[in-house]
Amino acid sequence: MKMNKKIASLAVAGALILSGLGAVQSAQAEEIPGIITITPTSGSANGVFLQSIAASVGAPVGFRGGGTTAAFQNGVLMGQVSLTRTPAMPATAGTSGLDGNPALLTRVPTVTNGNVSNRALSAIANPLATGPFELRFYYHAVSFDFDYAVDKWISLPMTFNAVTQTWAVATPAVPATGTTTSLTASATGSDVTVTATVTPTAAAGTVTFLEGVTPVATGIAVVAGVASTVLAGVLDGTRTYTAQFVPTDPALFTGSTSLTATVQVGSITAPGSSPSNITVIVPTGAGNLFLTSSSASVALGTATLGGGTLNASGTLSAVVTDQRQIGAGTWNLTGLVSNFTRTVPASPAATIAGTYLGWTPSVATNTIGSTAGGAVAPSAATGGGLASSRNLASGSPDLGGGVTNASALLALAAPGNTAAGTYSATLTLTLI
Amino acid sequence: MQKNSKLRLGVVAAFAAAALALGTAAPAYADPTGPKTLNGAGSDTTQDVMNFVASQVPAIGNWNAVPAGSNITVNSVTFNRPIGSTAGVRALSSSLRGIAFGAAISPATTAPLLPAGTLEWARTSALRTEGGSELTYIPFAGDATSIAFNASSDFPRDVALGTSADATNLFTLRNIYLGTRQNFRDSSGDLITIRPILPQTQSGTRLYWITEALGTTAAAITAGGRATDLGNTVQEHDGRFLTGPGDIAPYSVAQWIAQSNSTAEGLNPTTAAAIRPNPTGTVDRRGGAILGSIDTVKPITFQGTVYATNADFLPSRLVYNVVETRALTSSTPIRNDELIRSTFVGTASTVCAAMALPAQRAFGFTPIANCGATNLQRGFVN
Repeated sequence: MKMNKKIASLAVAGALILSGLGAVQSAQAEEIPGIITITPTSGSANGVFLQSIAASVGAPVGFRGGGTTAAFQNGVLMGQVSLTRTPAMPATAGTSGLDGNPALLTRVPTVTNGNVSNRALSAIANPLATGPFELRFYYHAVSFDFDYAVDKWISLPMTFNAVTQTWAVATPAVPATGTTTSLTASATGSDVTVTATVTPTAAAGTVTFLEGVTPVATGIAVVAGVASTVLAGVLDGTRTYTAQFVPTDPALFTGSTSLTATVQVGSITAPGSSPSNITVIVPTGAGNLFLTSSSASVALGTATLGGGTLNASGTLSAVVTDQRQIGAGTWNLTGLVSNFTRTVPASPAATIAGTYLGWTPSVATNTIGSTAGGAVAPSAATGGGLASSRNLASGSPDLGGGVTNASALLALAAPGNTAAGTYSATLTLTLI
Repeated sequence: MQKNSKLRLGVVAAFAAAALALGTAAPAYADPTGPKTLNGAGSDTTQDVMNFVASQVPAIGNWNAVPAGSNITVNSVTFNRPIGSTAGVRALSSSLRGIAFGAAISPATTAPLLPAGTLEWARTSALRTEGGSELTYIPFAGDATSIAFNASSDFPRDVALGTSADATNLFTLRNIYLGTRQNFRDSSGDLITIRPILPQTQSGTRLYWITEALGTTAAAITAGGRATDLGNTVQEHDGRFLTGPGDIAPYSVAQWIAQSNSTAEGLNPTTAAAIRPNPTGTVDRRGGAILGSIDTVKPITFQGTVYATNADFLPSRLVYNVVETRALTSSTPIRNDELIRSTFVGTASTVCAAMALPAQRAFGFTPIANCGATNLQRGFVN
């Protein structure tokens, strides 16, 4: 009877091996995604290695001839750590995964189950060096003839310490937490305050502020999610900034970059498409003296011939807010106009000298402590009219709220032989 | 003190018993004990079954192939024991021609001459290829040759035989013997180097294995550099040479069955008690060797009463008795010619009749329909 059993098992093994040989030729090298779970998760290299090992994925078709567990380091086979599992493995040894179902091998009920591990980690063919290594759960096409490059495996990252002869499952790296950075910018005079807000607030690091690609402030510490700084002496114009968050530990938090924030520094540029458009660039005063509003454009309308000149007029308004202390110096709001250039038709070029523009300033009657500048008549003389800086209004701090509503009746008296067309000029109001 | 004396006496008795046991085992090397008319020698493979045949055919003197290195004395002529098919046919060729055979036996300084009639037939397990027609190879049974390895080895229990069309790295017996596949993975997944073993050079099984089973040549095997006969010491069908985890050797399936049946507790169950142990006391030389399957076919079948060589197993071969062609064809028979014909030729010959007996099954050989056929002629072996 004993011999009878032996012969039966010979026949079974034979059939399986043949199917394995046939599959080798169509195989491709590949690590298959899956999870290996072992117990314990750390231990001595000199004792019993594993109590159990499970693989979440079974053997792919064509790789169901045999299974092993092997240690690899730097992609090199260092040695086998289990018996070769076969489809004929007794059920008491566990499930091999060679039927395509997940594998589970434990020392229950068979304490000596070599299919879990059959040798100490220190007893494998080639000693492991200190550092990371892999435990590979292999599915082979044939039980006695392994092609490690072609056969399929699932990998479990491990670490080994050759000095203490201990091993452990490698601690999986926690992905860095993503961050977001937002940016606001505001201008006060030539100072621009940029404030970056980084979330989550636990993210430690610094912020670099850039204008375009040029860093304008670096290494600004993030405190409670906020990094802010004042950029001094920013030149007038439209400024566009971005903020980059640089994490202290990139393993914990990722870096991030804000959307752009745009701020207008020093002047307001008015749209310039109106035929008689006067674009006014008005610098803000230092301290708390503001030119808080002014006319973006003034249309002078169509000039009419009268008295030998082409005459047109319009009203310019401006508001000055003076919140300085009483006793601070007098402010002056002055105006200066450029030459008018013909915009329609643009060719041939034609101009009207700025001298032909004059004005008659006034201040609102409720304004305390402010006075209007003197009237300036259009003139043909060089430096006449508003071609030279002329006073629109003056004032000093007062108790009345410090708001001066100034205005001026603009009067154009161009020479009667001026070419027809649409002209525009820029009147610059300066508050000093 | 008295107790001690008794103990000593007991020990002496045990030794005596052991000597007696050896005495009864002697028929294992059952050289003829008296003068025989038709003496023959040669193959290891058919040595035991022909001992059985000799027990049924009194004219036959069947000289064993073992032990190697010994001498035999036939009709008062002493010469080297032919150990294997090649040596057996060569000795027959020498005897038929009345020339010297083997090595000089001290105190003589020249090899002994074998007078005509010293040997009348030879055992061979391979059909040789010498040109000529002086010898007739008479098939009398079928055998199969599988691969054997120690039971403790993890060598695959089934392996492909292989052909010349295979890739050289394919795991086949042909590639293993040609040296292009040199290892396998054991049950621990560790690499084991294979040691492909061949029987000694006089062996018919060796010739058959290389040229017929593997389909290659002795020169190619030598060039491969892997196969070894361990310094020409390996006796065929002796599992005791398989000592390493990677050792394999060709093994006669019939011999494996015959050796298994060599004791009362042998392979065949009690329902076949008539053929167990086999009547002529084959020696069990398996030494833990077991047989593998080849190309998924198992070498042995069991029908409930008798273990037998699987008729579907390949590689398979015929085994032969070789006689002088002249003795079969001469119209003027001389000497033992007529006895040779009645002993070996045709299905009604005494040899073929013995092979048809149920007891023959103990030796594992497959009865064949063309037992006693005389259509295969070959030349002398020099």
